[in-house]
Amino acid sequence: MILQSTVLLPILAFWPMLGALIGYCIGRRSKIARDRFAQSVMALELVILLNCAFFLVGRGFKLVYSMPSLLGGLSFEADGFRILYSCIAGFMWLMTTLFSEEYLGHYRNRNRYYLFTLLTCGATVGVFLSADLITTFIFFEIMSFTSYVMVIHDENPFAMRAGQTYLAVAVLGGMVMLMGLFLLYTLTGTLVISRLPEACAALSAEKRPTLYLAGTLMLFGFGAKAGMYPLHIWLPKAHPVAPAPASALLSGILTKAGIFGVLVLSCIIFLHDKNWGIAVLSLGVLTMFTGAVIALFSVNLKRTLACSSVSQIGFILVGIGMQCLLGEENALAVWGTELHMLNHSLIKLVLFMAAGAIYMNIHKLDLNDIRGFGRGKPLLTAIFLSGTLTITGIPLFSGYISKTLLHESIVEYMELLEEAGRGIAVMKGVEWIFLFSGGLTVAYMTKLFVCIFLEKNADPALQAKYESLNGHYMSLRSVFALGIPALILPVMGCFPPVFMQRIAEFGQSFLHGEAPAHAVHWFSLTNLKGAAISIAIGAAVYFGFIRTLLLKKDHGGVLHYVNLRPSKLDMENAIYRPLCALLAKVSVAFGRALDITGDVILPKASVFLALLFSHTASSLPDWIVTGLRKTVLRKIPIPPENPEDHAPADLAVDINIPKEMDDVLNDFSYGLILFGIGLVVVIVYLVFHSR
Amino acid sequence: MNSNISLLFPILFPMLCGIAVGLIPALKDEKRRRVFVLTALSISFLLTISQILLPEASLYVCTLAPKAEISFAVDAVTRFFAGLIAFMWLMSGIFSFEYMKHEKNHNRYYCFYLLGEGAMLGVAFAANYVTMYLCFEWMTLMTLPMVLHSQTEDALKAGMKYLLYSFAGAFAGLLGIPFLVRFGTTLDFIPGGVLDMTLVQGHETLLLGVAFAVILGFGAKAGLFPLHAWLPTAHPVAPAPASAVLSGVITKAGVIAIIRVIYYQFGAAFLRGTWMQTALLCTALVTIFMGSSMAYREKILKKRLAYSTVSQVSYILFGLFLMNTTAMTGSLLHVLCHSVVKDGLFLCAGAIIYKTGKTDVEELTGIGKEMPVVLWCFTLCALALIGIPPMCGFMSKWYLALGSLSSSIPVISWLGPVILLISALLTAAYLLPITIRGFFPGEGYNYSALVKKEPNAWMLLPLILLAALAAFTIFPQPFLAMVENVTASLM
Amino acid sequence: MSNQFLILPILIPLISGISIALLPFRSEKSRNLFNLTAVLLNSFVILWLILSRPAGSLTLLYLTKTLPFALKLDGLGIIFLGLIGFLWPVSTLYSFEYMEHDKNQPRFFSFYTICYGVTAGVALSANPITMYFFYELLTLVTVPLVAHEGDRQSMAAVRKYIIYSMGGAALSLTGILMLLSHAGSVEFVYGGIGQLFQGDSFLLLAYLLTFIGFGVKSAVFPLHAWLPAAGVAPTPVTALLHAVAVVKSGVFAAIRSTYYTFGPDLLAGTWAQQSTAVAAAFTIVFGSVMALREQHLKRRLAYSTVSNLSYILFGMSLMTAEGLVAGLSHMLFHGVIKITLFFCAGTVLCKTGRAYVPQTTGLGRKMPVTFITFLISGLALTGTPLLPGYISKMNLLMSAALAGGPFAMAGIIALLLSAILTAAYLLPMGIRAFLVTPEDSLSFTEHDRDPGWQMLVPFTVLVLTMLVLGIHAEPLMNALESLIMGSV
Repeated sequence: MILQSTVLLPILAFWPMLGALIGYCIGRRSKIARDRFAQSVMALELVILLNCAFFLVGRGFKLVYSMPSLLGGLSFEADGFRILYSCIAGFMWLMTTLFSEEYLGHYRNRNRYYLFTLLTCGATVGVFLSADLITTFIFFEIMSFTSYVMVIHDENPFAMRAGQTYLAVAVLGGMVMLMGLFLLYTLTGTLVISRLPEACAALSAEKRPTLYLAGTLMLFGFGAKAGMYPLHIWLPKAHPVAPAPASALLSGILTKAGIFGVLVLSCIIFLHDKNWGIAVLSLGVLTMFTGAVIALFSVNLKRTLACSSVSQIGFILVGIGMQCLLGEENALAVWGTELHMLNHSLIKLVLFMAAGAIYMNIHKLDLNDIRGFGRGKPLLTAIFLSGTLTITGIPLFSGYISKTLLHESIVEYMELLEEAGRGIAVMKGVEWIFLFSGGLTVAYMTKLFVCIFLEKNADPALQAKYESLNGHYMSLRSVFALGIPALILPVMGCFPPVFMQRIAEFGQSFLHGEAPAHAVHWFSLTNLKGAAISIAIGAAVYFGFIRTLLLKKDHGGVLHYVNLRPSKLDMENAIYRPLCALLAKVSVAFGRALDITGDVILPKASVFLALLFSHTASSLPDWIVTGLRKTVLRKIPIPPENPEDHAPADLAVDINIPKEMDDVLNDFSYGLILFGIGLVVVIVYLVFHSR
Repeated sequence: MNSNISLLFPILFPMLCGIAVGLIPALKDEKRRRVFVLTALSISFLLTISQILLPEASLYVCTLAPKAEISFAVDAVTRFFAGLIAFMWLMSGIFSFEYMKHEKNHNRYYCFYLLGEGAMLGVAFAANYVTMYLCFEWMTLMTLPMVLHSQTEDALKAGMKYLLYSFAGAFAGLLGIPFLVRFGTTLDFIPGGVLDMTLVQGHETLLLGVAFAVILGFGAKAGLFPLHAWLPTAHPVAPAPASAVLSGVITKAGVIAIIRVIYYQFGAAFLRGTWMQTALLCTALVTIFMGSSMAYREKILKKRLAYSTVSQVSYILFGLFLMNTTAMTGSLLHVLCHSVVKDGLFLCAGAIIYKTGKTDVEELTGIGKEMPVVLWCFTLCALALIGIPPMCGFMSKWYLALGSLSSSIPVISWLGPVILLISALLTAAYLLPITIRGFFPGEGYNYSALVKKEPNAWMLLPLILLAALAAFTIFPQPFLAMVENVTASLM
Repeated sequence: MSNQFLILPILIPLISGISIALLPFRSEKSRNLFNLTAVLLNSFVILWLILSRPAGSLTLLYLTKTLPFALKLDGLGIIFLGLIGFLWPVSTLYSFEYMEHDKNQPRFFSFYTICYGVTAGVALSANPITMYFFYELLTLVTVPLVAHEGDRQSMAAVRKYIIYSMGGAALSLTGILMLLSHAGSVEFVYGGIGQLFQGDSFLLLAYLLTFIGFGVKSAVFPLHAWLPAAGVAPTPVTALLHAVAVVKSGVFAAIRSTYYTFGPDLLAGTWAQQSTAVAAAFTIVFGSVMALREQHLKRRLAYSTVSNLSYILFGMSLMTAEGLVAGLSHMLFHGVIKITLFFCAGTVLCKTGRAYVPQTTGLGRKMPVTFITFLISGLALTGTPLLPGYISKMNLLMSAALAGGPFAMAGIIALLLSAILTAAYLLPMGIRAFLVTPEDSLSFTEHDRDPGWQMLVPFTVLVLTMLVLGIHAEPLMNALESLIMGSV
């Protein structure tokens, strides 16, 4: 791997941002020019990316670039996996920008939308190409904030509330990850990804727990963005409210930025670490299963797709978990993870844009409303079908390959365990959940496909209106934007050794994956059997569960999709929001108590104490004098002392004193004068006498 | 150390201009006064810059009494703070021309505004404890009329509270002089401290207690916990440019005093690792948490920013109390960041109040549509304060946290960064809603009734400049160099 | 220069005082002129005496074979004489306008000038007995001044004043007699009899009695009640006597007994020193707190005097030379500052009839010069740098720190606490005066305006001295140092 320093890398990260600003200015004058400009920015970005991928990294160069002066030192690096994923990001942004021209036809604030979408693209590419974790964190935070604006683009109450949760999770995740970075930096002294493996390996035993703590904190941060189990709450809410192209990007690429972080943790810092693998595996299984279940129950098209993203992320996390567990022989798991990420990005691109196409025409997403929209629209059916077949892992589509690889890695780990003589019950359970979740995927995708493309709408007039749209529901550019990714999926699926294998080898160096011991024969009987089981489970669940429970006959005798999911089960409102409110209340109460001590109690108490103390002290001699007057000095007829007045009012009152006192006064002072004279005479005599 | 008289110019020049504005009747007219004050501020800025670029220089002025000499000098800390002070005063000054149109007695305001700058520069240029104490007290007196400016009853109460808390703090600071005279060799600022260890032998606890009291005393001006209560009451009452200077720069007088006391008088070596250092760190952490949670609760914008100052300045003090190079770098960077950002935030609040009269946070719905540029500056400064990467807050928090983690203090080393991050979270919780409510007023907002209320150029210039400066860590080299020569001389 | 002239500073005021009372003056103006010239003449005599420094003591008569009644001018005497020499003419000038439409002016001015001579006598006395004689005479001479108004309140005040002063004087006399019986006739000599009678508990008791005796006049805690009560007297009386002459002679006498009779070596480290230090420290805080609580302006300043006198006593109780110098510096500065404050209060009272603090809000707009002087002297008393209060406070703190020990530390805390309280009871009033809140501006009448030149001249003179002392106090401090250390 020859290191080649090229300025292309920072250009890749900052060009979309620059383009965003220029686009914003252009947008103020003409809308069309701005759309074209945005598309050309993305096109140029993709061209540079592809050029780096094929002509540079493809020829064995490892691109590196560091900018020590900027922000305390940004450094970029592009090896196989990173440039691969940047290309996918560039491709997806290009497609969504093309589609959003038509989709956003009658939207408001489109300038703002393009500005922030392009900024997010720059930040995401920055995350993928970053060489050290500080650069990753910087671009990660920028991505969080710019993507927030994409989520709340519609500004309706749902969007604002979902945005609020999204931002809270993003900021909280960012802060926790920062804490993890602090700990990691203090432990290993470096954050450069290439130097982390040997730095972490060299760590002494007693520092290991702190490393695990740092790792968990960073997992919290990256997992939050990826939609991992405990923190997936924002994903099913945020993606549906965003405009369709934005949801495609959020689900397709931004979650992969989170996964990229998890990969750095699992393949660089905790390479072949068994207990880290178990942790990620268990979280992955949980995410996979929960995502599939909530997808099953959802009756909103985009919400189902969002929940399915959570589930697919679960699949990828399972792959990462298996990588750590398999240790040296992790080739299958590495390939499986890479390819499933790739597939998932493209699937969600297709499916969300298809959903966008539907929403574009009828502005409805509820299954009961959009029922039967797809009838008589061969192109849309083909596109949606290609996405569905890939995600369900039907052979001849790329999804089958990545799912099989993941399944194979679980089976191989079970064989390893048997050789080592340890129980494989747990792994058997994992395998069954893996297959069952695959089955659930099949179930909810069939539910969507049947509802939109096979069934008729309950209201015939509506159905007629839908069919009237046949043929002219999408512009040519959108068809092109949807068609290409939809085509790629089957093509990659049919010729696995040509595409899939080479892509996997291209990206495996970053994940420290070794070449597989024996050649993978894709369409062998055992692999096909795995897919068959999933499809069988799916069909069973669909006919057994969905058709019976989730379809109710309403009074008109018409089948109606009903949402059985109890609202109180919603984790966000049940647990997270009350928890945050409670924490806020506690901290505010604590702060207020401190503030009061500083503000009120300290000065008021001290003054009160001083005054109380001084009052008693000052009246002490008066008490003594009055005491004396009552006892010893009784015989002197002195009128009682008048209290010292405080109020200004009684200054005017002038009490006259008894007559006899006045004479005493007069004699007394003149007496003194006589005394003075006497004194003077005596002193004068003495001065001159004593000489 | 050549002794040159020109050291006095940056201090005396603004004071003379202040007195001139206050007394000369010709300057009553709006136009002429604006020109006069602008030239005064810019010349004093240039003078300060010229002074701090000179090589080491010191100037002995006079002796008040035995052991109480008045002398000024330029050293690493002066170079760092003086430029910042003069620049911030210039910014708020430019902003105030427009803002004061809605206020009365302009001449009195500008008179004490310029006098305050002179006293503040005196604190930065002071070369020994007594001079610093003198400038510290007179700075409180000069800035008091700014708090009392509106002459309403609560302005009066806030002013009295400001005066008494600052004086209480200053007198605690005065406690240091006698003990330094007894145990130290001199009252001049010498990097590394002046304590004569042979004398100090049996009296460590007494001296530590005195140092603690002195730092808490000077901490009053910086809003440290026990004596912080005046800050949230005094700042909102003052006119916006005055509270911007009060919050952004005058709290730094407390910081300068504490740096001088810790690193130039008692010496970091003497204080490091003692119970007092832990006590100080706990106080700073308590203040950080309290400031942020109270700001989160406060509904009035300027009061919220004042509480945020209480918490943010304690970030700086936390870094100073750790007494190691990384933490010191972090705290000095945060001095720059906080001054720029807090000035910007208060000026934005001032612009909003000036144009729309809205002071409550709830009323600010859709303000981003009416005043996009002002709210963009507010947002950039808010992001900087929270510590979002491209902006300056991130780098200072980075160094502060690393400094804390690398210090070997048992609990504080990890608790510090945790509280810093919780406070950053709370900062996000009390600043971001303003931006969100401003830019995204929701569907119901009728765009037809929208009236553009952008303030004029005089107001916008400082806002935009400060918002741009809030990202100074994008090219951090020059600032890190400045911080470097301070920490090099001390550690 | 022979030392006969030592008698002059006592004699001139006595004669002129009596002649004011008895001689028939054509008009009030001529009498004032005569009075002012007499006082100025006496001040110049004092200045001349200070510069020429006559050596030795002038014995006037022998009460008994061994007890001479003698006068002498030494370092301490010079300081006290200098203070009253400078302040008396200023105060007399001020009192002319104050007493303008008062009925029995001749009696007032005669006793006012006699008192000048008697205070000079206290300063010039060479041994405890002479000092005690003038000390008693001072009480008698000031009684008619305090009782000048003749109304019920001033009668009660005079009664309290007489009871406290006579009681105190009696105690100090017993202390002095106990000392004389033990050590024979004792001339005031720096260092006193310390070396001979180390730690003799009989003498310690004697010292404590004298300290309590003189403590009455210097308003130490339990014995301070007469000072605020004496606030009812006309302002020149309260200003001069109760802020400068009477109370300062009390402190002067206490210093004489500590450093020049019993001697610091005898007292250092003993329970006597500790009790004085505790009493002083407590009074410092107590005086300030009571001042904060008091709404009546002159009573507030009286309590402030109680607190500031204990600053000086605290300096004295350190039993070190630096402590004494610091105490004396505060005596001088406090004298100048406090007399200005009383003058301002007096002007406000006599011009506008307002005696309570809340009534002065916004008055500064109408009486700018008075309230600017008040604010500056308030800042000085609080100890703001560039003004004298700061220097004496800093010296006190430094000497206490150098002396060290728990009592000194308690004193330091008391000093700082009292500084904050001083700021609390002086500065808000000074600042509020300049801020006209709308509802107050209506209540001003046309004659609420600045006083005549006779009051403004003392203001400007005193403010100038304050600024000069504040900025350039070094020569004065060195002079103090040499006077005490030199103990000539």
